Amino acid sequence: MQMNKRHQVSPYLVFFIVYSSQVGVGILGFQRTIAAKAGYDAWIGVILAGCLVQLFIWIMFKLLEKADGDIVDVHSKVFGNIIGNFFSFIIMIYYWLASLSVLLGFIEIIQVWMFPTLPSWILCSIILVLVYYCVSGGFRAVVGISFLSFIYPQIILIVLYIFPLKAAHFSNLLPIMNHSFLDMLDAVKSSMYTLAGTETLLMFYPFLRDPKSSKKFAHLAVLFTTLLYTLSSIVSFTYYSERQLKEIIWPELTLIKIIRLSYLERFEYLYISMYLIIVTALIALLLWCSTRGLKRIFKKKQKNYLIILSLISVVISQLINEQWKEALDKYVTQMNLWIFYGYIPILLIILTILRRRKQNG
Amino acid sequence: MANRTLIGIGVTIFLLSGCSLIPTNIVNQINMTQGVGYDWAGKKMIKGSITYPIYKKDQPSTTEVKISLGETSKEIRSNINNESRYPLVSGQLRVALFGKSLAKKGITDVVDTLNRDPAIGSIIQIAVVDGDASELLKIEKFKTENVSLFVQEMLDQSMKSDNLPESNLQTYLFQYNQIGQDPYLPLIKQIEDNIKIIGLAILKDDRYVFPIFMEDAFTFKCLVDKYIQGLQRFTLENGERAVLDNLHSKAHYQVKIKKGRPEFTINLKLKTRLQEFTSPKKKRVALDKKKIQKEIAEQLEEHSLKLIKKFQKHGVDPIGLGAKYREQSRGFNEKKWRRFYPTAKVHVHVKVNIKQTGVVD
Repeated sequence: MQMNKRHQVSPYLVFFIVYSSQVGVGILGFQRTIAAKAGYDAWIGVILAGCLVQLFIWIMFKLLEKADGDIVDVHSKVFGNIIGNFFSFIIMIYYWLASLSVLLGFIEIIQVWMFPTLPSWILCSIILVLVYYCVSGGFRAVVGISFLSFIYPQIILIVLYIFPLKAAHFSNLLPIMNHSFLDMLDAVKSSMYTLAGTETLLMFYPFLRDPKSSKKFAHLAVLFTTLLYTLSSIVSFTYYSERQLKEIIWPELTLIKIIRLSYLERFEYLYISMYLIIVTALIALLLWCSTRGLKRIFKKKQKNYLIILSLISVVISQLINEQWKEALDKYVTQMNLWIFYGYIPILLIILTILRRRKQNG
Repeated sequence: MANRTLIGIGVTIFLLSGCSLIPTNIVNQINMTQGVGYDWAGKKMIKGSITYPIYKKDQPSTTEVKISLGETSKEIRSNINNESRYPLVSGQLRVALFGKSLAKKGITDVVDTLNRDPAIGSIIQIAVVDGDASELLKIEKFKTENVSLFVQEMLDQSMKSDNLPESNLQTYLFQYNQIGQDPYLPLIKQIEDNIKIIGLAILKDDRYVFPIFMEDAFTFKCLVDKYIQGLQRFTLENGERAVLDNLHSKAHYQVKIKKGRPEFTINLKLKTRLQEFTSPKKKRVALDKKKIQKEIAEQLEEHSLKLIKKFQKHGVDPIGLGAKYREQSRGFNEKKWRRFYPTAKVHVHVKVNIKQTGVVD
């Protein structure tokens, strides 16, 4: 499928898209989950998970190159229109559920840390109005907000690690590799979820002006996020003692409590507000993918789907309870793992076999 | 077009109504808690005191101290809220004091509340009061001087430029949760109308066990902190007195396992500056730098060993020898270590280097 050049983006921008697809609310709390079994060796698990994601990016590029289009094209080529569209529909639902999980996670943070009495639907609508504005501007606007989220908050947020590092106990990380192989595997598995997000490539591939040369930027972005997550986990591990970390829900935010400026006693307020931009970029990207896919499947206007999905999100955010929220997070994690790390490689193999047969026949 | 304007107005109204739901705290309509004190009142009751400043137009601010009984710290807060003009907020909390009576029973419950509240920073000071915390906060003299800020700044300055080792809420939680380490906190006392730092409270888990006084604090700080600045007087064999100012010191811990039991070697290096040197002969004598260095090193070795013996006798480990052992050995067993600790062999080697002798030789 050939896209209009006007809608496409330059190769180097892929770095920012992939970066923003990977960084969300997960980074604020993943330290505890990965350390649950592997203890303070878990940072090695993050690096290993990063390597797997690199491999996954390579597989996705191979698959999309062969089909020369997005995942909807791949599906209709492999399974035909009806069954193919059905599979694509499931993936679009996944994108939407992922955006919902991020949104609910961030709303919970705002409620716990800043405004305990504020109803969810207000926060949800405020964020979604911003997201609607980005997504209705088309893919280039979504890329724009991704770029912004990297330049403005992210770089500042990395610099902030200086404060907790001043109080770090690096000897906490010793002895290295003191856990069994299975424990490490568990850390890899939980890091995979926080590093997830690269699967958005399956939708925005046709929008890349030069897919061949954008490859290296995608790999570079994954390298960056892997290092970011590794750094973040090491900072947390050296700052907290192991039993202390087990009790903290958002280690990254609790770290920030150490910052005290003479004119600003509580820095977290600023930190969480800055995080809004990062979260908006991620939600915009996921919702764009979802609505774009639905448009390709049902051939209606993208904006209609966007409004419908946003409204459902607002309603769910108000009605959902703790139990369902946990279930949602669990299912999104499971879906991510099975669809993208199990199903997509199989799809690549099927497509390759089909091509071979066609050539031979 | 008219339709769009209508939607725009609708969204604006919707958002503004949302903003009115966001709770606000106007600075002269709240009571900012700056210090809290907790004492044991018997029969499961805690006596809590809260101090907050009162600002009035054209008048110097005064400090209000309210005291109430309750079973939990938040119950105390709500009791006090009932008798104050404005609601109490905890975002500006600077210092939490524990009376000796409560510290002996354990402070975990209260510290957990401080840690749980997202509005409370992690570098607030906590200290044990030798006596009654509420009495100390109530001192008449500090009515106009703001007692909580006084205590906080006094402790801060002593940690930065004197013999008190670094501690705050975060270090307490770290040490409390670290396997193989017990926490220590500053110990302050009300002496007539003054507040004075008298040493350190050594805790076992969360219970106050015994104090170490200011004359031992220098040695203790050398053993636990990376960099210190503080004065200490040494009396040499021939009656000469030297006062050294520490410029930089670092303790290096080595663990060797002999016959299944750990043996510790502490290498302590001090870079110091001579501040005062007096001789009993009442006349100026030439300085024998090497001799002084050697003699002071021996004294420090002896002193540290005495301190560590005392810790071992009480079964507390504020230096964190257990944590150091755990870093070095893969098969660390906490129960076994507890058995080993009182009889563990510890060697201390001190090297004192007098870098400067002031402007005279």
